[in-house]
Amino acid sequence: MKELTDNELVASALAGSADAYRELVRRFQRPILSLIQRMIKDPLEAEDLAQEVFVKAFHNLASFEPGRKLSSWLFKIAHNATIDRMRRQRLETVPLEASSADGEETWEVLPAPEEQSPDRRAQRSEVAAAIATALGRLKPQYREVLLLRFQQGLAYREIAEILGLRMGTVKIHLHRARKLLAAELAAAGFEPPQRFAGNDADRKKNDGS
Amino acid sequence: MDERTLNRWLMAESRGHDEDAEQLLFGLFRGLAPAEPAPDFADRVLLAAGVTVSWRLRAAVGSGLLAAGLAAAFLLPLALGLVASIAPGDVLATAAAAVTGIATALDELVFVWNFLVHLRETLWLVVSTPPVALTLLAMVAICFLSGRWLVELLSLDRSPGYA
Repeated sequence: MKELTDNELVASALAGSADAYRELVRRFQRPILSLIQRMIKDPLEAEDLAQEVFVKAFHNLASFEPGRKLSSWLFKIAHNATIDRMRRQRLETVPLEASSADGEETWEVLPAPEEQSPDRRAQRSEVAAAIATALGRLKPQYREVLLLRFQQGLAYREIAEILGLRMGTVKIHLHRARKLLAAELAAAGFEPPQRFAGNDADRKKNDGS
Repeated sequence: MDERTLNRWLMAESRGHDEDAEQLLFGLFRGLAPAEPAPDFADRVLLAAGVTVSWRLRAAVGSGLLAAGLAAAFLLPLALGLVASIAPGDVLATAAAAVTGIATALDELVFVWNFLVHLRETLWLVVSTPPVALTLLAMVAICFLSGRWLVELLSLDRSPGYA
């Protein structure tokens, strides 16, 4: 059976098809939840917020303009809902720590492919955990822009629309966010052979500004 | 995602090779585990959005309708008997009492209305004095500007739009 486009699904949902609504959720639940989960600390809270995002979207589905991209529209709702929730509950930024023996916050890291050797797998997990941790240490605005670009694979124009920023500002934020992420990772011991200048300055920028 | 890729990315960043750095970072982010929603997530969303109805609610509404139907079937003969037993004189007396009650209430309402009119006239006399009017105007302006400033402060990070 031919897979319906997002716009066709929206039209079908507006016509009253529960299956279309269900398909819309299934299609976008992972990207939306992935973004929210990296933005706020509690995974249960994140799922609750993701549910709110979809409910909000469905209640306003009639106002969705078919010329726009549905994913951008949903990400925009998710962005605003996350900002509101973080502000309301003063949630801490996500320290995406890897598993720890002392029962502290644990975060899932990428399961390594089967064909890899145990050493290789362990190394991959370690790197994934380090990136997740470094990402969690960034300020929310930098973390979000990195996630939208590199995890969700969105274009600058889409990110600008979602965040309500100019495209130039998005590029600047992304550049700065990349430098800060590199600085966090370097500080965690993942430095390339030649130490690059500006790490400490970048870290201070993330901590202080 | 391995340490070599990570090092290559860090190196690209340090040397300012933006395009390479971007490509490598895409690869690194692919290694982050995506969130996995609960299996019943879609069902919960549809329930919360009111797109579908839970079986509990269906059962409750069905039982309620059944109970109402049974009650109506039993109570209808009783209600008909009651209506037949009412004398026309009683109906007239009740109607007359209702009219009297309404007239009394209206009279009290007129009293309250007159009081409000008097209050408005008094307040207008005070407000129309230039110093009081200016003070009020200034207070309204301050409230308005403070409100706008607060809204802007709260929605600084939000993406513009209804959502």
